[in-house]
Amino acid sequence: MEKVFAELQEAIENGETQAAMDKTKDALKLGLRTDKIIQTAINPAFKDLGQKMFDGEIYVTDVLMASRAAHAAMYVMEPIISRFSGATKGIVAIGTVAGDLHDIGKNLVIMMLQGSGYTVIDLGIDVPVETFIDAVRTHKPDVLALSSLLTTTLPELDNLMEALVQQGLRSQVKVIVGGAPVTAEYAGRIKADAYANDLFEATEAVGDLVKNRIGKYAV
Amino acid sequence: MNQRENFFAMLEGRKPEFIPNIMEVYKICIFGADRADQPLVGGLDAFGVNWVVTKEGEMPEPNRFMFEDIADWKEYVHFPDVDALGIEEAAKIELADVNRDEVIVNVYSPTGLFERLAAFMGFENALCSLVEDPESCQEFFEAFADYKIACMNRFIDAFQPDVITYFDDLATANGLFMSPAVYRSVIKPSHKRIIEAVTSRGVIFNQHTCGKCEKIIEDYVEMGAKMWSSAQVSNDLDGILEKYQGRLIVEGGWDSSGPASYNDATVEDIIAETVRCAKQYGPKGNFIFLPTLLNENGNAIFVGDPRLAPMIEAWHTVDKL
Ligand code: B1M
Repeated sequence: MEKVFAELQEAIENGETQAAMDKTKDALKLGLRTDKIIQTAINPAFKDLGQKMFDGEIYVTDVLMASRAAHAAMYVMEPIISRFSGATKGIVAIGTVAGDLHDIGKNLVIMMLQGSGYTVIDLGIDVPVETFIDAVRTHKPDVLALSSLLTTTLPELDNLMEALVQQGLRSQVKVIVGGAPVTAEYAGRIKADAYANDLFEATEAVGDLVKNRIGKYAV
Repeated sequence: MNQRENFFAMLEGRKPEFIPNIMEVYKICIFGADRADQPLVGGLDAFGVNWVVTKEGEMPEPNRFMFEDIADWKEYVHFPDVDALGIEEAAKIELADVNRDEVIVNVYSPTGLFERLAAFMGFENALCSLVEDPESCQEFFEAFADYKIACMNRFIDAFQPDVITYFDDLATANGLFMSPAVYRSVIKPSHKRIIEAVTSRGVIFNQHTCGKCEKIIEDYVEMGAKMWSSAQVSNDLDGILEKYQGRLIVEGGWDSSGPASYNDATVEDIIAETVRCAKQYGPKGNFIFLPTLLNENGNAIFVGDPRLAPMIEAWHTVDKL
């Protein structure tokens, strides 16, 4: 049993899509539960990759390949996961704020969240405040995630926080912010719930937010 | 010394009289790029890629890819006829009032090898292709380098530039997009040809790469780049300035994602960042100040900003050498 977890973790870390699918099938054949597979193979793979990325040992290409492999594993488990309603770990609506077209970081965060079992609604780039608000009303996400790569679009984060309060939606959704110019201090100032510096932190932070925990990345 | 003489003193590794800033040392030319690489006001470029613009800048329309499998590139990529781009006409307009005895003519050549691939197939597909199908990528880069070289030669004939700044973003704030090994095996051979095409004609090659790209600066220098631009603070700028004294001019220094670049940065914040750059990097001698000051209307240098004048004044007043 442990062997299959270790092999799946290794396949994901090496970005081997086919192997990741095969090992996931093997795990399911052994009767292992999908949540156990995610917890014991997929999450540790990303934890390990996060550390390696932090240490400068691996690059964005490696993380992308690993995310694709994790997606493939999730794809194999998808029919089983969707059979149990509520099996998703939570719903996250994410977008890059208005005026900003950068999407690489956001897309990586999405891949990572999906690969870890969350349902993600991608609102795209250049997303106006009204679209974020509509998404909260329509999709009722557990977490609203905003990415801003430009210093000039940072005020959009403030605008959104204000709009959530004005529309009476602030208590319904947790907010996480990220992107190169965003800091924990900035996130605190606008009263977001969490700030993450990279995709790995983002996933951990979302995990805390959906469970209503005050985690390491709370601000 | 005027700006021009001072610049060449720096380039030759002699002690400059002053440390320049990009607003004053260059006549920057962008009209050639408008025709050959990316349209300034957005819309379709010469390859058929659609560019979208916000006031902050532009980029290829996200999620609208020309192809997703690099093996298919030949089916979709049709190289424009360089003769028909109108580069000569662009040069005439742009050089009308330039005083070549005073300033450095710097022609911008954006959308380098990797960025062009990303413009066709998106950043994530492009990055994965580098690892999954390096042969097709190499083939594409070779062909695109031929186009770039033809454009560079046109730029050189038409603009007679001192410097060509070639843009290719290969890094994030935390490190390279791809490993140095992947860069060296897949991108570098074509990159080298582009650099040599420029330097062999006596033009200075300025490599623009944002983000933390310090692991491949040595490669740039070895291939003949004499300048590196947009040098961001995520790199060990002090170490790089020292290591490459007399071999590389470093253009940048400003903490472009930090509080001095926020819309609400005060004149005091901006002056403090200017003084920091002057005092920290100026004494090394091989430095050009490149502030990234954006405001709600876009890039301050192009759209204006009342904070620019005090910033330049601070730059002039502070002791840099
Ligand atoms: C919600 O929860 C979360 C949690 C975590 C979150 C999160 C959300 N969002 C991100 N994270 C975090 O997790 C991610 C994964 O680990 C991380 O995401 P990142 O996005 O940080 O990291 C990604 C994995 C990779 N990183 C990136 O993709 C950004 C790298 C740099 C080099 C960069 C790139 C690649 C690009 N750019 Co742009 N670009 C720069 C960047 C330099 C830098 N120092 O960051 C920056 C951001 N750009 C800048 C600029 C100015 C511009 N760019 C532009 C265009 C481009 C390219 C097309 C060339 C390309 C983007 C391609 C794309 N599809 O996204 C233009 C803007 C267009 C627009 N309106 O948006 C243009 C205006 C340039 C121009 N003259 O046209 C600068 C901003 C300066 C400022 N003061 O704001 C910049 C810092 C570079 C610089 N010269 O200083 C974390 O931040």
